[in-house]
Amino acid sequence: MIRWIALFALGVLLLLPIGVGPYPIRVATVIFMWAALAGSWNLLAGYAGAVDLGPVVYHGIGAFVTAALMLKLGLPFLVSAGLAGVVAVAIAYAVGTPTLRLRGAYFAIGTLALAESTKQLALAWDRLTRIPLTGGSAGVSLPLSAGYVPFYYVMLGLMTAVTVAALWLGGSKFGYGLRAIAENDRLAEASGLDIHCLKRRVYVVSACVMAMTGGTAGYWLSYINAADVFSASITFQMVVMALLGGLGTPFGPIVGAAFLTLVSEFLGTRFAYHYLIAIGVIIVLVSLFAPAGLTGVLEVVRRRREATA
Amino acid sequence: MTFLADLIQTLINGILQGGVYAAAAVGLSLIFGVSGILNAAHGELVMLGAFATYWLATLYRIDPLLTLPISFGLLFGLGYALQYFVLNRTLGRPLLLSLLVTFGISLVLLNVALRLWSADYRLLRTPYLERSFVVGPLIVPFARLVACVLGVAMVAALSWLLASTRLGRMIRATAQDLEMARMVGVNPRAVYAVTFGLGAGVSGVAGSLVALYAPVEPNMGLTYTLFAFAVVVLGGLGYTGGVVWGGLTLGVAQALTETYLEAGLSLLVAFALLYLILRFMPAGIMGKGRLE
Amino acid sequence: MTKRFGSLTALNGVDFALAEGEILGIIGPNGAGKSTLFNVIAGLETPTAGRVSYRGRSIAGMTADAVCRLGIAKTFQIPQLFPRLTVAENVLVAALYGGGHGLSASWREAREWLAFVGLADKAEKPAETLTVSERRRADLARVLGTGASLILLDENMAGLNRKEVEAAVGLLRDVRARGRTLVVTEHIMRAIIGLADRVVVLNYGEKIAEGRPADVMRDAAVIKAYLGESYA
Repeated sequence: MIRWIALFALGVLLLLPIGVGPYPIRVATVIFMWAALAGSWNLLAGYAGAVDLGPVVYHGIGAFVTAALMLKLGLPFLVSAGLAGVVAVAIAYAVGTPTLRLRGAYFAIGTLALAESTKQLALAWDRLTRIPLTGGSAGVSLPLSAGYVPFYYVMLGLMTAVTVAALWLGGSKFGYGLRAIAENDRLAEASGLDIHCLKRRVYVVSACVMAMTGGTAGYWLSYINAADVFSASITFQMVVMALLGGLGTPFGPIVGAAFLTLVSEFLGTRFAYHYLIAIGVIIVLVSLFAPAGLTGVLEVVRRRREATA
Repeated sequence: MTFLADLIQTLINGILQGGVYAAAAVGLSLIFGVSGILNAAHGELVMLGAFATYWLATLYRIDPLLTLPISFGLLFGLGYALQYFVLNRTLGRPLLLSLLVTFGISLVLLNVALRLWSADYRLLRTPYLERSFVVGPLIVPFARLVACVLGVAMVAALSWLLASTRLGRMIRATAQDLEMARMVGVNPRAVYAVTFGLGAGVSGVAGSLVALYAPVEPNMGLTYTLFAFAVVVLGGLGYTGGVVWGGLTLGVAQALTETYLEAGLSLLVAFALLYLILRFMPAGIMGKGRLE
Repeated sequence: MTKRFGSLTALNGVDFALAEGEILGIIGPNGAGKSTLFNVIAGLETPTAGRVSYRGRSIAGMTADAVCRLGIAKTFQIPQLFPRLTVAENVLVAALYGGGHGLSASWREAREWLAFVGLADKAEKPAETLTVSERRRADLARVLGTGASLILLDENMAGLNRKEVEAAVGLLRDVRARGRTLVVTEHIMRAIIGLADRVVVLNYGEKIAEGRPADVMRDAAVIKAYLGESYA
């Protein structure tokens, strides 16, 4: 049932740019971007129970690789973003293999350390290696892009891919494996799951999507900067959106991304601090009292309706 | 000759900084060791302590060293309230929950601070602290020395409190075996609240110590949270005494990087060290930390 | 095999052979090393010295999941489960990964084993709602779901009353009848005598006796280990 609604919504979204003006399309693109980011984070954290606090690393890598390919090799945008995804997969595989052996708090701290290290490395890269890649604190400018509609579709595509992946996990063997790991990883291992291998697969896919999203966002803004694209605040927002929408659900990240993006649009830049204070309070309240997030609340409402019908 | 002098100066710098790092990390270690809460708002507590000292010294002309107990008191109260009213609800639930809730708290604290004080850097000027001891080619800034000594003294005082006082025993009992502690009459909710208060209080004092020699600014919190994580992991998660080793290691590693590599890399070195220790020596340098 | 934890020697040169289709009992006072023995066999610990062979292959040092897929599975002294998955899903996971079956075959396996241990009516409930004795049966169903040929039961009957013990013994005889090999450790002597073909006795990490249950119970060394010098 939900799937038909989702398919219908997708159809509407595909046709939206025809009848709607630039501002709503831009807002929608932002929502799709965050939904793709939050959705990828949700795969590892919501389904497999591994809280990664440094996912922004792949967002940044994607941004810089895309920029480098476009500027140095003159490759077209889509090819560059796609290759950035491939590079991210390779790096994620190499990094994930040792890192995913960490569990719980150690994994959280370790990934955070990794992300911050990478940010520092990126800031110092040009100076240290004499290979101009990241532009240090000045950043890198990309060629100007024409129009906003292509970005709308690329982000829509990424968001859809992540959501489809999450839906597939719902009833599949792989999905059950991940949930077992989330519930009791030692028991999962004793029951025959190669937990390291399964987690790594999700980690790598997540990294790929984040890199492509990062590359797209960079091209859209025509400017990337190590401090921004590796910023911990990107991780924070991803986490909040996934949590708010409902961790471990396929549509939760979309709901969370939409809600928070709209709130922030509404408050505008004047209320930046208030927005963040409100986010902080929301995180506390949702975590404590509604850990299933907004989609959890909707579930409860739906069940109550069915019970009384 | 100058190579040796440089090296010793570097080590001195590292040790002085390390003492403050230890003080800035012991609160995190205590809270994690007792309640299992990984406090993502840790750095903000340090930051608030730093600002408490700054404003008390600037607005009311109180001697900065006298502001330390006030800073402790204020942060203790805040910490106690946070644990009692908010964080006690996360006990017994997965790690992610307390991580997220403390993260939400950190956002609130950080942005309230930004709202009140803006992102400007503020440096406290205290004439009598601005001297330096000069021994041959070596320079020891007085403010940093005071901060380091007081920081280490505070860690020692906290260790003494945990080891030798009735309160300390209650805290350790609750940490080791909750059921048993309950059975001998300990009220866990109060113990956790006091523990968080203590952790927050010492973190606040650490921030005050930082304010003695460095500029303060609301965003400094995140860096201190990360440094504290590094120190605690280096020293061994849950092993409170280890923060001294962790702090010294981190301080010296950073000082060496600043002298022999370059200043901008000191953060990178800190985090790379953290990652390597987590991966290869998760029980910390002394091997006494708790494993998951 | 020998297993040391720092200065503590949990197992010291414990040596025995297991025949396919037999039920071996492992008994001994608390702290004798029974659980450690199981952990080493199941791949949860690596022996400090010695060998563990299964069907001619050396398995010491293999990871726990590889050992499980090979056909050895263990129950837990304090029953473990996947709390928020349903009871059926708990066994499903074992069948999917331990047994390596596809999704529909695994669902069939899961329901079959749940019925076998008598938990069919709880299949759709979250595992965390089970009582302790139900959890033990669920643990057994999970282990059976992995398709293991060698099943290690770590005090699976602890806390059961007389009738429940009899039922459990009957169930395990059924399991053996289906071609499985069992190694059982229990403190309930009645169960061991009723179930085991052979018994190995451990004390302080060493094997002190081996043989048929009735013979072993009368062995002086065994009586001394359990009850002290004066009873020997």
